[in-house]
Amino acid sequence: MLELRKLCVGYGPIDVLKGISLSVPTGSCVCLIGANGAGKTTTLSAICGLVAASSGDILFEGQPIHCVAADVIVRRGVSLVPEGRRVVSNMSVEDNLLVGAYTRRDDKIGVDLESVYRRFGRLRERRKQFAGQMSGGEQQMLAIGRALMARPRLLLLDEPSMGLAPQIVNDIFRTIREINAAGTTVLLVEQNARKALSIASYGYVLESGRINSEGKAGDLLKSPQIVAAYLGGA
Amino acid sequence: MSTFFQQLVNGISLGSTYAVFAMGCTLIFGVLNIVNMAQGAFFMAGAYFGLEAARLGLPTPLALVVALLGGGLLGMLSELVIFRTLRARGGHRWMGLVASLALARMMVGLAQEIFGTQVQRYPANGLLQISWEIADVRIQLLQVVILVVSLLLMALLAFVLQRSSTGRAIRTVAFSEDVARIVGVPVGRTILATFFLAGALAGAAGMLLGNLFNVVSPFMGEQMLVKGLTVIIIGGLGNVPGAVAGGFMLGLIEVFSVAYVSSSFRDAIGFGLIFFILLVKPNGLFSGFEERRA
Repeated sequence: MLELRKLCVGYGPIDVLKGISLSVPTGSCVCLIGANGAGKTTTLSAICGLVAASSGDILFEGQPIHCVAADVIVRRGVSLVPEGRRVVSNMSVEDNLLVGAYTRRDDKIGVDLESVYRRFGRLRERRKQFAGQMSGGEQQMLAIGRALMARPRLLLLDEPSMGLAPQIVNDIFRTIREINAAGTTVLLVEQNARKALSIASYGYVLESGRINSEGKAGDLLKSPQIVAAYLGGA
Repeated sequence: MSTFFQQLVNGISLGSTYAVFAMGCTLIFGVLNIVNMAQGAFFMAGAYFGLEAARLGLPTPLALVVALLGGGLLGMLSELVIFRTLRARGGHRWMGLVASLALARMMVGLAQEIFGTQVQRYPANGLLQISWEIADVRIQLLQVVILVVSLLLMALLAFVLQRSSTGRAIRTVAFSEDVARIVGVPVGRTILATFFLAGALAGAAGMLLGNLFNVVSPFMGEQMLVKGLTVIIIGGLGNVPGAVAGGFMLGLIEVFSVAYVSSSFRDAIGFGLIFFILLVKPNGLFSGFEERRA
């Protein structure tokens, strides 16, 4: 469904991504793990059209999307749950969800709003509240709900566990697994490698802008290097 | 006592036009965080658009639509010619300030060239002749119509911002352009729509005030711009209900200071107030309701 080929992205003279290639098959859940500054967020930003690739290809369903405007990429079926959630804090929960459906003109928006509320009961309780007044976990639910409102076929998640209590992280990951099981392809970026590999089928390890290793999630979990570098040597 | 009520009536109708103009200003200055000094010129242009439409024999409601559309299109033009170009080149906001000031000057010059520097008046319509006397207080039909039209425009803007898809997009762009892109909002087009709304409100306010005083001149926009800025500071930048409250407030203060102090003190009192508010409540009078920002 998504394929990156030798993707390079630079901010000024500094190359953040130095030719990464990866593929996310339809229906799968793939994770991209790595330390701070490895280029994980930049990879997602490039896919969404927020930063320009300096060379290489980004193919979504076989079509190149690296010179397509960000709003058109959303329209084609790619949604991002950004790092730090970035919900519109001075807008109500419901308006945040509705703006997620901005690209749609069909009449099923109400149905999808209802299904987001069914998935996240807290959002329904707080739908008139300002998003900025909610806890981190609730804002993460809102950010995921907002992305789902666009009816994406590929969902990109950037560090959904960041800054959340372990219990909430478990809830969020269960939700991601459910979304994937319901047919949405997922590309998950995480620092919490153990958690990410536990729900993904395949993983890539990003280090200083290069893919350093890749493999089935189960194999990566057992690989001595990965365990030492990202899983705390447990 | 009748002076008081008479001035109350005058102040409310004057203030309602300030409120309409200030709503447009707060959308650009506060919500989009862009300094557009041509808002006053759109106001002046709106008054002339309405005037010309009325002279062509269009009924007043249609003349108002002409003023709205004319102001809105000029607003879009300023975005396309000035602000979008500057953003694409990474220009500083000071450049936008100077460029929009230049646009305003050009429009004033153009208006002088086309219409002359002489004050122009609206052709007589039924609105001016009808008025009621209630216990020594004279209420003109014109004042009532202006108030009603202003309230309708306020309700319309509130509806667009709070309930429509475009309104949610505007609020999202105001929060962060990157977040807007992430959810699929076309940022450029949304900013353009905001410029249209702000220009249309300025144009409508120009026609309303031109009718209220029955005076249209090429220079009417400059003073109005300063008033618009005053009002949006009183109301809190980006706060639409605040701009409405501030507009009515400034209108009432002006009218009462003329009636009870002296007409030469009108601006001194109005602008003295802004100094005072800036010192006491730097975020505007309604800063307690920060979450109500559009």
